[in-house]
Amino acid sequence: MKTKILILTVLFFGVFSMTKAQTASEILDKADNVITTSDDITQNVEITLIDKNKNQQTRTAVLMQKGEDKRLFEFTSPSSYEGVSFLSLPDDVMYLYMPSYGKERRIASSVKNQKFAGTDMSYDDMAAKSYNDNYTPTIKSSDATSWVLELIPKTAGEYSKVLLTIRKIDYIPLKAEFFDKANNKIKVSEFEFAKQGNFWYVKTLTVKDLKTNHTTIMKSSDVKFNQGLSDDIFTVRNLTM
Amino acid sequence: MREKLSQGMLKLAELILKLKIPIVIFVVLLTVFFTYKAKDFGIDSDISSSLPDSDYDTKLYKEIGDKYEGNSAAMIIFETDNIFKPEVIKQIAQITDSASYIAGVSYVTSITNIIDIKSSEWGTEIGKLVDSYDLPDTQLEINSLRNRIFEKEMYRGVIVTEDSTAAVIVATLMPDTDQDSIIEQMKLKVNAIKPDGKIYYSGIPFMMKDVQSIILRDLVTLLPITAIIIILILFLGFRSWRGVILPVLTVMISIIWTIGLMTWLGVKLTLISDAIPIILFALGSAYSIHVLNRINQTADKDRVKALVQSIAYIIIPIFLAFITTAMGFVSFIFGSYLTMIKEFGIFTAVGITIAFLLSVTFTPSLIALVKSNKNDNTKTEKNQIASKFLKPLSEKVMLHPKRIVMAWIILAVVGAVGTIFIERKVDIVSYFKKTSDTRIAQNLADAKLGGSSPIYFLFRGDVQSPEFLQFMKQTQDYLKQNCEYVEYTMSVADLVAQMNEAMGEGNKIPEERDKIEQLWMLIESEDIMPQLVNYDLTEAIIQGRFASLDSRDTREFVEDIKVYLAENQHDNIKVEFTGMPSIYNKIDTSLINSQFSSLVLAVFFMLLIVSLTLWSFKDGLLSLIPLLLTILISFGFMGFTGIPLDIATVLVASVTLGVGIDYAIHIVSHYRNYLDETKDIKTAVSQSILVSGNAIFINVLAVAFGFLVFLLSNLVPLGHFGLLMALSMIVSGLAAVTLLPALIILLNKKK
Repeated sequence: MKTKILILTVLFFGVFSMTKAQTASEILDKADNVITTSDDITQNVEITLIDKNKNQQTRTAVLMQKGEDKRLFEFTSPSSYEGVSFLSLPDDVMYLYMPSYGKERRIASSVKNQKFAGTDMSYDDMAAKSYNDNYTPTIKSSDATSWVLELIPKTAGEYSKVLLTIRKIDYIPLKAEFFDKANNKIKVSEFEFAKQGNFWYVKTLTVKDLKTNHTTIMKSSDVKFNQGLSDDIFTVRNLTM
Repeated sequence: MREKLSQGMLKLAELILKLKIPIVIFVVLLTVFFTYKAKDFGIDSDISSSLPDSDYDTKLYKEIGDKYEGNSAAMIIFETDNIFKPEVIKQIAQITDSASYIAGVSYVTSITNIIDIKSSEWGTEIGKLVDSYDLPDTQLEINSLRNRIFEKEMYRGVIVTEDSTAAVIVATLMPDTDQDSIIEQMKLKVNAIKPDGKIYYSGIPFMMKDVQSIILRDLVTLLPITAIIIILILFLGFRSWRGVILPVLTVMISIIWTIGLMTWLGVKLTLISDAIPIILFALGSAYSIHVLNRINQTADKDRVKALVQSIAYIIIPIFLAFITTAMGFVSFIFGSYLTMIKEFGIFTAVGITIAFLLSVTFTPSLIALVKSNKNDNTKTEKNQIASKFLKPLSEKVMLHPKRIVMAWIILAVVGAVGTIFIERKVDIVSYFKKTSDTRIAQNLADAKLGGSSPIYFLFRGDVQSPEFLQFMKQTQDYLKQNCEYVEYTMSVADLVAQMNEAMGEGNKIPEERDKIEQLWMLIESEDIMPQLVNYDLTEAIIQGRFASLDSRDTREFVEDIKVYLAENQHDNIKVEFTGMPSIYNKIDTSLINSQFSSLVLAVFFMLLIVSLTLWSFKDGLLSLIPLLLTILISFGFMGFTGIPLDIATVLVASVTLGVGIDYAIHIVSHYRNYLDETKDIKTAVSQSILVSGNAIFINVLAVAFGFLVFLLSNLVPLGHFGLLMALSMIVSGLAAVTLLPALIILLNKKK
């Protein structure tokens, strides 16, 4: 009798876990889809910068994105930064506009590893690209509630690997840990997702640079989805207007 | 009065012997205690710590180091036939990477990671000179990199030599980190990469580390050699083990107490205090020798009585020898601005005092405790050797006193002429031998890579104002155009100007503040920013390197900058200047002042002590003459041989005075004794030459050989110090047995 129950249990869990046995790539794909489901998104962001001595600075900006690779980031405060904009277009084309100069300049692709406007994110980090396109994942560990995927970049970049923690129930990424070429953990990002209507979005993103002890907290508000943003917004002409 | 004094001395001697057991126990216990302390001794090889902490230049230098992520730059120089090869670039990138991963390294700069702001027709690029994730590997890419480097003044001859044979990787170390371990790790990592070329290490951290290991090596190797030499001389002199063991034991205990005391008080060994143990060996063993000598000469059959008499007799002469020597060292405490020299003065004086006290308490106590059938066959042969040389000498002096005085005057005049040519060297690099890698690396860095001595300008005011940045840029332009030895400077004004150029408005500071503020956003998160501006944007620095260690170049540069800053004043901008050239210049000036004031002080002390001892100001003055000539001659020797005045050779004059005065005292006091007895000047003079000459001869030999051991040191200044000390000892000994008697004869003739 006892053995029967045991066998049944083993069978049940065996079958159950087989249905759950997804490949790392599938998991990452689902996580990617959670992040980018809407056609476009408009949001206000508040960026708080905290340095190692706990000094704080706050900046605000409006962020608009259409599809996966059109993005406009425009500062609204402090007053000296007002109007400074970054425009990212497909194929790694990036423009910077400075109102004080009244003109735009294209920014080269090798800048992508550089930090973005005083934050702890690189231009690359800001680009919100799909994980699956850029990394080769393997499952590093798994517990009752989450997976930890080890992501190896497909092309050499700033990081040698990323450990990404993904929540099992809804494939929401919770945390990303970045490692340099000497395998030192150099950066940790934590995501706090929120759902509005049918769409998930990152409500709070906290990035900590472990080497400089500098932290960036990015909070989103007034998030609007599928506003039907025109392609004209994402043009150089619009920058200078 | 003499009667009273010798009565007192007898009582003191009796007391010492009565307390022999407590004395020995006390010495043993204290030695155990100080051995325990001394084992943790530290070494401070930082040249800037030779200035007091309150010194303006040092304070500002340290302040900038603390605020702007470190002022000490470790330089790794990669030398090969041609830097512009894919393999070499790759290895430079590897070294750069692995250096930057070491904890405690704040920032690394090399061709593979240096910031580069490019502007072109189509846009702008704020990035790195080389994409470290996609290193140039085709000849085409390599060529374009080379062109880029050679078109920009900021890179050419600064991170790569103009002949493309060497590149430098500069790692700035955080303040208050364990620099030793960082340096070790760096070397290990570089070795692991197995570079295709020769690697040189330069910059203050590497040099300090090298000095440190040399100091340690010197302590470990030179001390035993000195010990062996002194033991040999002692054994030849006494032909008994007691005559060897007791002085050596006394000196070793003095060394342990001194080093233990230093460690206990948190004072670290420096380039010069490293010499204390050897100096104690050379000078401190004399006191016990005198005590033993006296005991051997006292013929009383009653051992205790003999001991008491010997001690009572010898305590005052030894005290005189001790106090003059100690005063020579004390003159540094009051006569020098430089901490390193003060500490040396204090602790050598302490060590000498300990050696003296032990010699008159511990040594006789041990002798009283250890029963031995004293069988020290006092030597007669040595006297013969000495008299073979001294007898003809004294006859010459008697016959031609004028010639002898003339000969010395000529020597002194030649010496005085040589003094004009004395050079000065205060930089850490000159510690190293010319053939050492450290020295070669330094020459390479100075000649081809923009130098290795950091310089800093600290600007205070409103950093983002056009006026402020304009002033910074103007100062940098001035440095590049007018200062021969400044190739490399870097500031936030550079970055702003380059960004402005990238925005299409030329390599200059924009005139509108909002432009500056917006450009700022693009550079503010650059790794280099915390090294250039403070968080509140109220301060910014220009960092640069100076490519000469010559004290004249350094002084001219520092003076020039003073004038520039005085002529260019702004109401709202305060500028301060510091750097290794300022520190070296300060040490240089202090060195001359030190030499002057410590010498004057030492002369004053000696005159006072000798006049009091001989109870005659005239005789005091007379005793000093041979020494003053000796000092002139040794200065002249420095001038003609090119031995510079440095942190160690600055000590020679006062130490010579303190040690050499004993010879003069010997001669003069013996002369007066014999004159009292014989009433004949000539007999008194020749007797004093024969008797004192013998003692002087042996002492000169022992001390000179002791100091000559320093020639084996790998630290150049210590070698020079030893050579000069040995020379001075020989010259002052010779002067005491020739010049002094000749002067006595001439002076008395006139009467």
